[in-house]
Amino acid sequence: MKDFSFESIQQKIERFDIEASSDESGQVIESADGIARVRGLPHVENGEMVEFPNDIYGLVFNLEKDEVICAILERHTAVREGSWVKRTGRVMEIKVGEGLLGRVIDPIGNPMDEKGPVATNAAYPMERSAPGVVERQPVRVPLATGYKIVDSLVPIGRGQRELIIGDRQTGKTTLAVDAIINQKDTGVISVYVAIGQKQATVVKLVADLARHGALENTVIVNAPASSPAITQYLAPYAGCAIAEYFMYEKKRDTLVIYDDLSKHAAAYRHISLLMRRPPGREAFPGDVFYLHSRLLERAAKLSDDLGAGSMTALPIIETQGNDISAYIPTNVISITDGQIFLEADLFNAGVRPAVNAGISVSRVGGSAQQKMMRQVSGTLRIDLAQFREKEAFSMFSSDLDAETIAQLKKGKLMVELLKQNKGGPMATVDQVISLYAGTRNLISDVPSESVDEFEKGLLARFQEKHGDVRRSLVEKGSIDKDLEETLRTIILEYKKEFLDGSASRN
Amino acid sequence: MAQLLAIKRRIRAIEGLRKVTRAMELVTHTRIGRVRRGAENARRYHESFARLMKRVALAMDEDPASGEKTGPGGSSAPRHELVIFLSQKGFCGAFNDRLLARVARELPRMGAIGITVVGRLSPKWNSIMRRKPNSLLEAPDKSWQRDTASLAAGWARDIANGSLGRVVFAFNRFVSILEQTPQFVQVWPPEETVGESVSAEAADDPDGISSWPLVEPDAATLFTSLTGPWIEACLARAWWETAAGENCSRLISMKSANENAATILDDLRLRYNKTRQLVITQELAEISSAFNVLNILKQKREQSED
Amino acid sequence: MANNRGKILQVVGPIIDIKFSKEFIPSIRNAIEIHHTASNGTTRTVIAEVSMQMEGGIVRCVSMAPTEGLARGMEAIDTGKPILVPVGQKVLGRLFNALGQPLDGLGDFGEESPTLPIRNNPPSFASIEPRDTVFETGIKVIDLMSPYVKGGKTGLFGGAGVGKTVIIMELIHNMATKHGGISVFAGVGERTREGNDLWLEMKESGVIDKTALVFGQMGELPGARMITPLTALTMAEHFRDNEHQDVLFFMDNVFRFVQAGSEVSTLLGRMPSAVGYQPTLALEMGRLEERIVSTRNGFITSIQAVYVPADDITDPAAAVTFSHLDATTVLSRDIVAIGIYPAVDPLQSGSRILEPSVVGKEHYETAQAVKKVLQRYNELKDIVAILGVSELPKEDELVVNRARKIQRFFSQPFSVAETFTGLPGRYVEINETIAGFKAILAGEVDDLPEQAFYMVGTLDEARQRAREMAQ
Repeated sequence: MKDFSFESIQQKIERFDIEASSDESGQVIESADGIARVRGLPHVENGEMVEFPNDIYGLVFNLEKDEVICAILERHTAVREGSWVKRTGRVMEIKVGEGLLGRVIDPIGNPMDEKGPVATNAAYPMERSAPGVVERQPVRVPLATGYKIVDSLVPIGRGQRELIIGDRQTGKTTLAVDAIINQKDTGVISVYVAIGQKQATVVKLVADLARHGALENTVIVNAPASSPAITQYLAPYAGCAIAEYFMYEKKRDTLVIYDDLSKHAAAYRHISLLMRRPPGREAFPGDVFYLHSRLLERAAKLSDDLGAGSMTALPIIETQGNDISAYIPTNVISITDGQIFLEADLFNAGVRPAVNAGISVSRVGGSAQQKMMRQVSGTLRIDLAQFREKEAFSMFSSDLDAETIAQLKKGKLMVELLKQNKGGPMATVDQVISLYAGTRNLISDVPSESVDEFEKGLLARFQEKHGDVRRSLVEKGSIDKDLEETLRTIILEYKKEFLDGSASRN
Repeated sequence: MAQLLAIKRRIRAIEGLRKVTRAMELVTHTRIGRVRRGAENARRYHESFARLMKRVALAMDEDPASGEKTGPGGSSAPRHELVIFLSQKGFCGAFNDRLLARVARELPRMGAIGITVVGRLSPKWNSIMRRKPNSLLEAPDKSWQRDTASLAAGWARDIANGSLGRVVFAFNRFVSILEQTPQFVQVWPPEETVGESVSAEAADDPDGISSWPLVEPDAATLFTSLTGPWIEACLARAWWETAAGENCSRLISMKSANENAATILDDLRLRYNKTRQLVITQELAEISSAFNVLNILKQKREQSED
Repeated sequence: MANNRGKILQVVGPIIDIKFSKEFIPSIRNAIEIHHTASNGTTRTVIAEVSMQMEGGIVRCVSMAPTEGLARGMEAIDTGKPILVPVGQKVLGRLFNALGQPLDGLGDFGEESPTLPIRNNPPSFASIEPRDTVFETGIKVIDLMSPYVKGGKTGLFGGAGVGKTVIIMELIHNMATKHGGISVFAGVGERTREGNDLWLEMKESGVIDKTALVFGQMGELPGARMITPLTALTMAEHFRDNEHQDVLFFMDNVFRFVQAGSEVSTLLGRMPSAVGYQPTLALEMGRLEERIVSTRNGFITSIQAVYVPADDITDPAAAVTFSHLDATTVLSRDIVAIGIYPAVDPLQSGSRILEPSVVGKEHYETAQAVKKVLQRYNELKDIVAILGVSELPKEDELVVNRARKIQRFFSQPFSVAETFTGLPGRYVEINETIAGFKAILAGEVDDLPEQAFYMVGTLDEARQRAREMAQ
């Protein structure tokens, strides 16, 4: 505590020197809605931080002919007409370091939890240009979310940007947070950026992460709905910079969640309109595409020369009435490497996660899948596609050939198998076993209403009695001839018991 | 915005509908070959059976009471029966209603007659017929023979014991994919109008029944014993012709339904796009003109301050 | 007028107002340089392009780089010229940003190295030589179904994961080996990751030596994205006009060029036109597309990936793009799904010159007949899929068999994919292509197994394959 205050005093003294020497100050001529118009500051730079009385900071947005327009970062009502303003000579930065892990901070870097000051070891600029064409390498390593439907059909690779999109109350945040929880033993550092969320939601989320032991690998940047628009605008850049520290400096794999970018765009519109920047579609300013493209392009798999760290981004967009053709959703869809659609209809029908597999895509994740997952997901994709195509024919079942009827039946079973209503994330090896059973027609006689129960029992069987099979699956990463045989035998054996058991129960 | 969502919902609804009609078209398409063959076979069988019945009738003695050569039954018996063959399923256009309209026209001339329906009652039944059928047999697709066998046997029994005098079938005769015409056939007592080709061809048929040496039993007994199979043959023909007509009729109406759906979808998609563009343009015009007005006001204020 | 100096007056986002003396106001499209030193001591140069002249010697400029760190009163230098980019043989094998600065770390270009301004006028009326000649690509499905025009423009439709990159690379390869020409690629407003994929694959397949790459991806400011096609085009024009070489010009994605223009327009405060696009939409597009043309010196043939916003082909951006296209090649996921590469959809692809008067009667009729068979096959496919082949009449079965052979015969081994497929690439001349499909349609090869047509070049190869399979 002592060190901290000493340091800040020292910084202030240093700053004071700069201020004194450059004689760079100005006066607030208008303060409204968190925006200050300042006269003076003749040499202030675009994007520079300025200081108001009482330790209040602002960010220079517009340099106009006679005045400077700043957004006030906090307590904006304390900035009054006539207040003095000073240059700081610094751009917007965020303090970064391992000390952030397990902490909740605001986008400026102040702790919001009760764990005391944050120990940091460097400052990263919030804005930084994205790694260029030659500074990257293709996405090849999977980032498992623990959800069968995602990991098999819309797989995510380290360094990928995958949009999670859907109406409110469709489980977007849950999916993202479970993805974080699933990273707890993978060494991936996660950053969760809450933009314009209810405080209570974030508190609950932090508790969830802590309960699953995933908090110590996670940094939470929180700009709640009640915080000024400018901090909501800065939050994703701050979160991104924190992840960049781990990616560039520590050569780590990172995962960033922006929850959500619709609110981020709204915050930027709020500021832009107050600053009288020319409005365009849906009253967003002209560079709202650039707002998100420059943020999401910073997620990458770095080249070996740069240490091969990675940043995976899962931005979230909330749609209204399932309309993905609105301005912001189309923008973000065209930026990301794919999207996971969550649908209210599915959610209300009890499907978890409520992913519409037909229209969800991942453009790069396929090449990042583990071989064993690819082995089962290839046929799964075809099965489901055929199922969707022929679903309309199921009412004519008496006229269909046997193959089509079998496809329809299998499709129904697979849809059932992909549900993951309770129990949260699943290990990749368990997913592979369960999908193997389904795609290889081993369980076509299990009634679809007991698929869930069957799966649970099967996986427990593997856990208890066939740990060696699981282990060798994990080690080999693919299903070879031997394993194929073993898996088949165990699954069929268990199925027999299961069906006999349920028959005797009835 | 709301407008766009409404159009989108309609597009989705029609797409869903078209999926069903398209599926139905495909299924019908492949079924047609089978039912057409069935109809042709049934017709051929029935026609040769009719020839046989005629030869047997020729060999019979006239009934002393009525002067008819028909064996049991006839107008004197108390019960008369009209059997109407309708489609098994819906979605086949005016297939049923055309037949019913014809039946409704003919019905007054038939006197007191019971109505049996094979197939599904069309929704317009009541408004066209203005009376309920006396019995209804929703013969399912696959096992019609089993289901109709008892019906045929019942009629044959009633004819033999004299309680049933007349049986008339009303069904759509299958002419071609595009054409099915309503037709009445008197099954009992057997009439020559049954098959268009019976009379002329059969009269000079040297291998016909007339040249057969009839020994035992006599023609009347033979005639009576043939009643059951004869009714079954009639039933088979009416059933298959109806099935063929029904499927063709459904194919045509599904085809046009699909074409209509495609036209509506094209139209809706165009309307969706135009609306989408219009909404954006209008919204922008409002936003940017408001913005410009604000700027002009600001300039004026500044000028007046100066 | 070089070294005419002015001072920054105002900075709003990427828009910079600079005051010059009234006598020396920079011309529209001139490049303005601003050198500044950041707080950490590094110096950098921001380049901006003049887009409006205003009262009192003030110019409004669009910055090509982030304006963070700029301050009012900073000195700005009018270079007196538009943005200059390097041209000539040296650009081959290299990778540039929108400003023509190399990004690949292979060294800068010297002061003496030739440069040209990116804002060039389209060739004069008299020098244009429109020729409706077929540009042979050596790719069967393209040559038959959507023949490219020399000096023409082809729209390439189809999302990610349908093999766009491989087709582009094969075209570059064939251009170099068969036409002795070179290629220029402009990556406009797309994902940097995709640029990285393309760059690595080009290095691996070796076609990079015949190619110059220019990237202004989506992480860049709208101004930079907007000039990226111009930078690449300037390099292509130099090959055509000064080195009399034929050039293939790729642009991925032309919609992003329009989009960047619209962003800039809004930032400049221009009144928007229909659907929010810039009022100058058609002109901007025209000034770009009209430079892609055949002249007496040579031709630039271009292939442009097209994104259709909201799948609405009546959208102004799509409509204005279509008006410039001569041919369309549509890539389809359904065709990828059955394992046919290149995954060109022969029914949706087409070309303005697929007319008997241009490509000849034989080509035209063969293409039409192929289309007819495939269309019929599509109708029958549904029935086969749900009810089985046995339900089809005999003559339809023949259609299905031939259509499947045609479909497989549309696949072709690519030179640039040799390392993956293990099959040597095949370049098929147009007359061979036509003869092959004609023979299939005529039923001359009804007896060969379907599999013999998969991944071969000419029909003779298919026959050869069938013989091998029989043994």
